[in-house]
Amino acid sequence: MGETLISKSTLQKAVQSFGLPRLIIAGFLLSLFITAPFVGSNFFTQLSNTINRFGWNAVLVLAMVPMVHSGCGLNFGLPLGIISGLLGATLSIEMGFTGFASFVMAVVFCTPFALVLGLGYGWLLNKIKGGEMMIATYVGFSSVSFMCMMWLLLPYKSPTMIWGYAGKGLRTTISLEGFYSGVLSNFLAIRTPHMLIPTGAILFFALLAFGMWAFLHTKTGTAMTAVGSNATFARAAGINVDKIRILSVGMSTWLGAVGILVYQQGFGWMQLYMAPFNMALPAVSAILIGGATVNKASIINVVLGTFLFQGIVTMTPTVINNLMMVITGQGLDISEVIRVIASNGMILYALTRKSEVTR
Amino acid sequence: MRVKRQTLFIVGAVLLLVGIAVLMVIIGRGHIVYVDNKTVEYNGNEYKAYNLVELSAKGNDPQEAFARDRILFKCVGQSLKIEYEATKKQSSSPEKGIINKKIPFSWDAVVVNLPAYFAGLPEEVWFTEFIQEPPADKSSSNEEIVFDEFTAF
Amino acid sequence: MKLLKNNSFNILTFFKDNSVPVMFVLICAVCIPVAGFPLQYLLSEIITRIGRNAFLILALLIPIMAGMGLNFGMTLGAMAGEIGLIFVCDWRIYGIPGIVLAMIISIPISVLLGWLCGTIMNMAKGREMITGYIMNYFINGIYQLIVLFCMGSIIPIKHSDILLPRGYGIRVTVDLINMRQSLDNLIAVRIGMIKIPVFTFILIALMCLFIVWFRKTKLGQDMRAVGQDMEVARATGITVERTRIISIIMSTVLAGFGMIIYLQNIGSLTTYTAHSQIGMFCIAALLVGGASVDKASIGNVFLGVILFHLMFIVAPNAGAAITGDSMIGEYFRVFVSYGVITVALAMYEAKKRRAKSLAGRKLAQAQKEEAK
Repeated sequence: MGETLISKSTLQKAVQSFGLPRLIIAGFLLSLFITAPFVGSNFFTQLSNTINRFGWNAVLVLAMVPMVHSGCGLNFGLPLGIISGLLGATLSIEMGFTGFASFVMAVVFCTPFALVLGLGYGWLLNKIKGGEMMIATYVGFSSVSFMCMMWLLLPYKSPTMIWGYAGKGLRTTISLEGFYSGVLSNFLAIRTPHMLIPTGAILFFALLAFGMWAFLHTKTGTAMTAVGSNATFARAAGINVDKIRILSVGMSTWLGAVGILVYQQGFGWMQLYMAPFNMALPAVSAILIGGATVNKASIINVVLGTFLFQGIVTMTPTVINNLMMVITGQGLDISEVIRVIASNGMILYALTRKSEVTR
Repeated sequence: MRVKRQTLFIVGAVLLLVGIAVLMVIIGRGHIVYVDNKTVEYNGNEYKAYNLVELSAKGNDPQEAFARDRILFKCVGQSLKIEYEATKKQSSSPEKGIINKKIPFSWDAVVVNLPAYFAGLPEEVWFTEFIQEPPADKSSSNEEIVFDEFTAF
Repeated sequence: MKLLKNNSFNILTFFKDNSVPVMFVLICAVCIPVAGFPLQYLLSEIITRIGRNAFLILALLIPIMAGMGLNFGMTLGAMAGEIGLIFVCDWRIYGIPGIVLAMIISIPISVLLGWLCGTIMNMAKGREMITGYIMNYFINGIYQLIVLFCMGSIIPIKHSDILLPRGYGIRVTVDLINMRQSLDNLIAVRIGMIKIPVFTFILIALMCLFIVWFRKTKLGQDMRAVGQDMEVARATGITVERTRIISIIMSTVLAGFGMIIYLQNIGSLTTYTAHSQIGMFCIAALLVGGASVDKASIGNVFLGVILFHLMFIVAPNAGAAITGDSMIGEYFRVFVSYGVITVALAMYEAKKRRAKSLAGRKLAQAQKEEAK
């Protein structure tokens, strides 16, 4: 009797620490995987799609980690990093680099932009401690709409990127064929009839994730965690809180820039103008689904979250559609709506959790 | 006591709103009235369309219906009142009058056939419900819903 | 000499306190001549837009009073208003009765959504704005679920002309022809080319009076107390959570009415997009009028509508004239809208932080004095 009571309470505790919404989402995904074969979608194709999209998106989700660690909250300002990435990418193509070199050069070119923008952004966030997330959102939005003007005005010349008839202004989508489309995903890729594992992209992510993990265990990294968990205490311990926060924002921005490049090499297209606008929300909800909170995030959260989120993204359209076909006899693409509700519900849930941070 | 008064107040407010809503449904129910000036056959007799009928109804611009015309009025509420001035032939002098009719609440649209009305035929001939056919596909069968924050991801 | 110094100081503080409106006056002053619109056109556009937007923006004032910041969750009310309009359109209720009915239908939905939003915001104190903002997206998903999948299949919709060809779900645009501008045209005065929608203005004026009156009521005073300091308010016996929820509910209901007024002026409802940007534009307009996150007046609303929409009207043409590309102007106005919100939010948070550290320093000083 007593034993069952204890086990019940431990179960409850486990549910509590894991979070009910997270449990629902994980359960939902699991049921999707189970139903998939019954409604006629191949399990391995689904899994392979999920893994591929994981490869595209994981770095963008990783970009959340430094800012969460230093207590700056979720990086709703991810579009700023994406902008730097796009600047690097366009510059690399403009300079005439092709193939793998264009990817490397894009990373090289985006770095100064990411660092400068990140420093400014970090400086701003230091001025407004406590209100980071809302302002981050709008910093992202303003920078995207500002760059919309710049894409039209900057003197790009490369014929692959500019509008043919006008002779100026960048296109809204630019094909990366011949540039860095697939350079990571196809590197050492494992192909079977139903599966395609983008080894290169996953290795690249693993490299960055390992770097992040290693960094968090250096002196600066632990200082960052200290700042995030208790800023007053960190200050008392002689840590320069503002500097650490700026560093974390710079890292997040740079990872965002590299993240979009990785995304593009998988996707095969570069999207400019309003495209980066809402890219922060999926990344934010992905890391939250993975078990992060507003002030705590680990590499495991990133991996798990990206996998779960991308699983839902790839599975719901096909599985739900087929399921509806079986049940009602007509296709019903309700997946979009499920995704919107699930991911934003997750963010809402995270926001309502009490955070232990006192600033 | 205070709580009770508050509850009473809320119930009253809700009732008031429901009352207004019902009232609005009754007085605001709109009907589309098609007025036909078309030749009609009934019991083997043919009732010829008039040469010209000038019509006016509240809330609408006055309109003219020549022979074989169909004109459209919007009628808010159930009482339909159309003033007319009808000329049977070019030479004849116009007859004036008012059509007064209650439109059944559930009808979206009605057809009023003028020649039948002028000839004094039974109501089911000149006053009929107009059943709108489901519109043929105006655009492509799959209208895309544009708003989606995940398009890029 | 002294007087002059004093004067210049005043002007400086004036500019500092009103930097956003002043900046907008400057932008407009540059753009209007460049865009080259006739004055009459501008005037008539501005009057139309005041009638269209002022009510919506007024809905933002109450949560600001209660210290909950800019209510990004006003979009929830807008969705409730849209659902009301969809039903009214299906039931074929015309004209003003239709609009009144749509407003009544929107009330329970708005109250429910407002209550939900308020409750969640209470769970996320200090993060109200971002919570409201995410709430938008979340409820928008549910709105899509209801309107796109349930209407016509579970919720009865009689007339197939507002349904998608597949038989369920509401069309991307719903024509509001039978309600189009029926409020605006009820008492419309024409001066030359300019149409003044007097009745809509009367509604807006009534709303302003309501807000002025509401500030003086017990509830209004409570809200201000809560806005000043939650703990102090709680100590004086105010039920803080309840007061905050009520303020959000009121804002949501009013936003629903505002959206219906907005849409009757437009004359058609873009079912899935009409509400998505409305919160952002209303908030930007209010901020342009010189409001801040913790302080906004009715004057800010009107100044904001005029300046913001003046910029909105002239920007594409001005952009085209200056750079030769009309898209630049389009992007410019979007950039300015977001930029204004960013700047206003940053200034507010920075001010709050400065005040906090100042208070802390004063406290430390006092403690030091005491120790002596």
